[in-house]
Amino acid sequence: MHHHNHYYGQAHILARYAGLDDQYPPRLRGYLQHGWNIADGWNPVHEFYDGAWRFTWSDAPRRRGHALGRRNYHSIGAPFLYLLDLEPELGAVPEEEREGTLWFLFHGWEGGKIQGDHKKLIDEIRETEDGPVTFSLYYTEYDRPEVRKSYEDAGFRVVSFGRRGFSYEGTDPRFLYKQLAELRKHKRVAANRLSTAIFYGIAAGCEAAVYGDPMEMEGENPLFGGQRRIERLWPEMLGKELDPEAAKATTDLELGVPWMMPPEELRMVFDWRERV
Amino acid sequence: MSDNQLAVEVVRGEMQPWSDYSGKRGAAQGPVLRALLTDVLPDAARTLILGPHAADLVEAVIAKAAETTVLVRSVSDAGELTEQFGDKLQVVAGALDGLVDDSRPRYDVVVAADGLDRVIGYDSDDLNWQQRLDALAAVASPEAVLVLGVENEFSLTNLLDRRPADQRHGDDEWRPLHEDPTRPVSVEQLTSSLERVGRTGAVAYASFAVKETPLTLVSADVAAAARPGQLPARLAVEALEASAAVVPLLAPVAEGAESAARAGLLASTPSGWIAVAGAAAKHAIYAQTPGAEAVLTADAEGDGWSVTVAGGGAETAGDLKFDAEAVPATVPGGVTAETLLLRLAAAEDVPGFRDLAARLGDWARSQTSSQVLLRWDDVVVDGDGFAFGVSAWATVGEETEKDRLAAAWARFHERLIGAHRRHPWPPWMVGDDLVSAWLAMSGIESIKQTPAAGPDTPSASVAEVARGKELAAALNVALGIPADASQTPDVRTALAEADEARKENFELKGQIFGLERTLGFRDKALKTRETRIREMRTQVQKANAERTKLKNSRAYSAVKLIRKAAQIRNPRKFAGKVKRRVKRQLKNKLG
Repeated sequence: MHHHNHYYGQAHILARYAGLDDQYPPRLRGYLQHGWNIADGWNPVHEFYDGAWRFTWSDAPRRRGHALGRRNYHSIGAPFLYLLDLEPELGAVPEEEREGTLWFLFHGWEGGKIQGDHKKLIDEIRETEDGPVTFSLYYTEYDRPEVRKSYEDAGFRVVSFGRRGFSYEGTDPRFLYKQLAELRKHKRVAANRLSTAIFYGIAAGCEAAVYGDPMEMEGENPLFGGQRRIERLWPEMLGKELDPEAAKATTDLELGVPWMMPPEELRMVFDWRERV
Repeated sequence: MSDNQLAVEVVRGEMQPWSDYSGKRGAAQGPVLRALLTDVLPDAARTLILGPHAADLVEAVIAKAAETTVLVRSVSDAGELTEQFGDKLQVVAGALDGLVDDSRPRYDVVVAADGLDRVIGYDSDDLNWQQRLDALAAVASPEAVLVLGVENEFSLTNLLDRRPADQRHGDDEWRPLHEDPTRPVSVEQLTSSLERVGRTGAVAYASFAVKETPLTLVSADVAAAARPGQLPARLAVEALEASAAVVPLLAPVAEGAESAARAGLLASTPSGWIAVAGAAAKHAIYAQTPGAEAVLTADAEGDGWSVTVAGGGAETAGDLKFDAEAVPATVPGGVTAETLLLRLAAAEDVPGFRDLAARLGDWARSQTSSQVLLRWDDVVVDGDGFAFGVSAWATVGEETEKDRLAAAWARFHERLIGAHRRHPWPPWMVGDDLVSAWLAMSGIESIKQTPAAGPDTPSASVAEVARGKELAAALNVALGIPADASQTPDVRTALAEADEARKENFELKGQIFGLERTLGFRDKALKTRETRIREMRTQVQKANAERTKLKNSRAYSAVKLIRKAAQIRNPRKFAGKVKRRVKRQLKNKLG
C-alpha cells in the first residue's frame, strides 16, 4: 500500500515467506516498519492514511504509537528474521572462519545527510578493532567520494548493499540478502549508533559493539529523546564489548522474535489472498 | 361472582379478576429453588407458602411438610391450585394482612421465595416492606424456618435496564413497591431486617434469576469472595447473560458482573436474594445447568470445588447430548482459559496468546476419553495444565480433533468479537480466518488458502471451520441462547456496532485514498519508465540513422574494401584468380 513497504526489499521477503511472488510482492494493507527506532517505528512526522494498519516488528513500537493516538497495530517480527529462516546458509562460513568487523556508519537518508568527524571515527575504529574492517556505507554516503575515500584510504574495505528505493523505483530487493551474507562472514558488527544493523548483526550471530562519534543528521528530530534516551533504555547495547547474552535477549525483543508467525497467518494478517 | 360461589377459602384482601401466575409475571419457580427448599425445609412441619409459587415448588414443599397451606391473593390462582393439588394443599385466597387478622395458628415453616411484593392486594393497607415482614413474622412461630426472597433494586440488570422505572413492572405496581425506602437493598439490610423480627443467624444467597426463575444461587459469602473467571462468578455471569434475553439492557451485563466480582461486590448486585432463617444451608452454590433441568451444587473443597449434578435426563439437542456423568466430581478453583485468552487479546500479546493456544491444543488432544464439547469458558486453569469445568454438553458422535477445537475457537470468537472486546487482529481477518488462525495456533495444520476469483469468494477457512461452527451453534441452542440474540443487542452494543460501521466506512475511505496514492506512485513510475523508453527509442533511431549514413559513406566502402583485402592470405594466388576471372569476362564480352 505504501512505497516504504518495499524499502530494503522487506515486502519482497515477506511475500516469499508467505509463498507468493517475491519479484512483485502484493500490496500490503497498511504500513510496514522498515527500520528500528525509539518511537513507534516511523519518523515523527510520518503521515498515514486514515484507519491505516501499522505492522511493527515488536510490541514496544505499538505501545509508543498508542500513546501518540495511533491505533491499529499488529506486531509481526522483522522481515530480516524471516530472511534468516528462508536463507539459513546464505553467506555462512564455519564459525571459526568468521573474521573481522562489519562496521556500519550511522547513515543519512535521501532527505538528510550526516555530518561528523570521519577522521576521528577512523582512528577510534583502528584502535578498537583487531581484525580487518569492512565498512558499510549507505549509498547516500557511498556516493560521496570524500566520505567513501576517507574510509578506503584508512585501509578498510568499503561496501554498500544498494538502495532502498523510492516510489517503488530503484529498490534493490536483494539489499538485506547482501547484508546478511556479509554479516555471516564477519565475527563482529559495530556502529556509531544503536541502529537496525546492530540488531541484524546480532541476529546473524555476530558479536556487537556500539561506539564512536554518533554524528549528527541534518533535520534530525529529537522529539523522541534521541541518544540520551537510548543510553537510559538500552545500556547493555552500548560499548565496545557487549554482553552477548544480554545483547541477544534485547535483540530478540526489538526485532520481535516472539511475534513471528507462520506463513498462512501472515497472509491473513496482510489480507494476502491471491486474487485471480 | 358472589362469595358463596367461591370454591376456595378466602381471607380479606383477595383480588379478582387477577392472576400472579399467568400475567406479565409468573410465579417463583425452577429446579434451583426446588433443590434449595428440599435441602433446607424440615420434615413434617406445618408449612405456609406465601405468595405465588409454581407447582414444582409447591410439590417440593408438600413432599416435606406435614400440612401445607398456600396463600395467594388471586382467587382464580387459588382455584387452579386447589384443582391441581386437591386435598394435599390447603389453598387460601387473600392478602397477608387478611391472614394475620384471621388469627390462625402460627406456622413452623414459611416459604416466601417470591418475596413480599405480591402478598397484599389493592384493598390492603399501604404496608411497606418492613410492615409486610412484620405481618409474615406474625403468622410464623418464633422458631420457624423462613425462606424469604427479595428483589434487589441495586441489581445489575436493574441498573442496566434501558426502560424507565415506570415501565419495568407489571400492573401490580399500584403503589411504588420498588421505591419503598424500607426495602432492603443489601445482604446486610436483609439480615438486619430479619433480626429485627427475631430471626437471627439467617444466611443469604445471591440469586441470579431470569424473571421469577433463579438460575444460580450463590451463598453471599462465597459470592463476595468470587473473582472473575472463578466458578461462582462464572455461574452467576451465565445466569445474568441469560437474563439479557428478557430484560432490554443498556450495556452487556457480563462486563458489569465481572467488574462487580473484581470489587468483591457480586453478592451486592444479583437479581435478588433468598434468605434462609432457622435452618442450616447445605450447599454454597445451586445452579441450573444451562439447557437442562439438572441442578448443580458445589461446595468449596481445598482450592477447588466439589461438584454434584442431580436430575436431568440424557437429553439430546441435535449434535449434542447432556451427560451429567461427564461433569467431574471436583473442579479446580482457578479461572478459565477464556479469562486468560481475553486478557492476552486485550493486551495485544499475540505471543502469549499463541503460547496459551498451543498449550490448550495439547491438552485438548490428550483428553481422548472425553466427548465433552470444548469451550474455553469452561476449561479451567489447573496449575500448569487445564481441567474440564462443569459443562455437561458432549457431542453425540465422534468428532475430529480439529472440529472439537474449531468449536471452542468459534465460541471464543463469538464471545470476543460479539462483545466488542479489545484485540489486535485486523478487521479483514475477523471471522472464519481468525478462527482458522487460532486453530493453527493450537496445533492444527494450517489450511492452504485458495486464490480468490472474486470479492465474495469464500476463504478456505470457511470450509475448515464449518463443522466447528455448527457445534458451537448447537451448544448455543442447547444452552437456550436465542438464535436472534444478536438482533436485539443492548444499547452500548448497538451504538458500538453503529460506530464500527462508521469506522469501517472511514477506514475504507482511507484505504481507497491509500490505494489511489499507490496507483499515483505506480503511474509516476510508469511515466518515468515511458519517458526513459522514449529517450532510448530516440537514441536507437539516432544510432540507426548514423549507422546508415556511415554505411553509405566512401570511408565505409574503403574500410570494407580494406577489411576484405586484409582477409587475403595469399596475394599471388588471389592475383591469379582475379586475372583468370578478368580474362573470362573479356572473352565472354568479345566473343
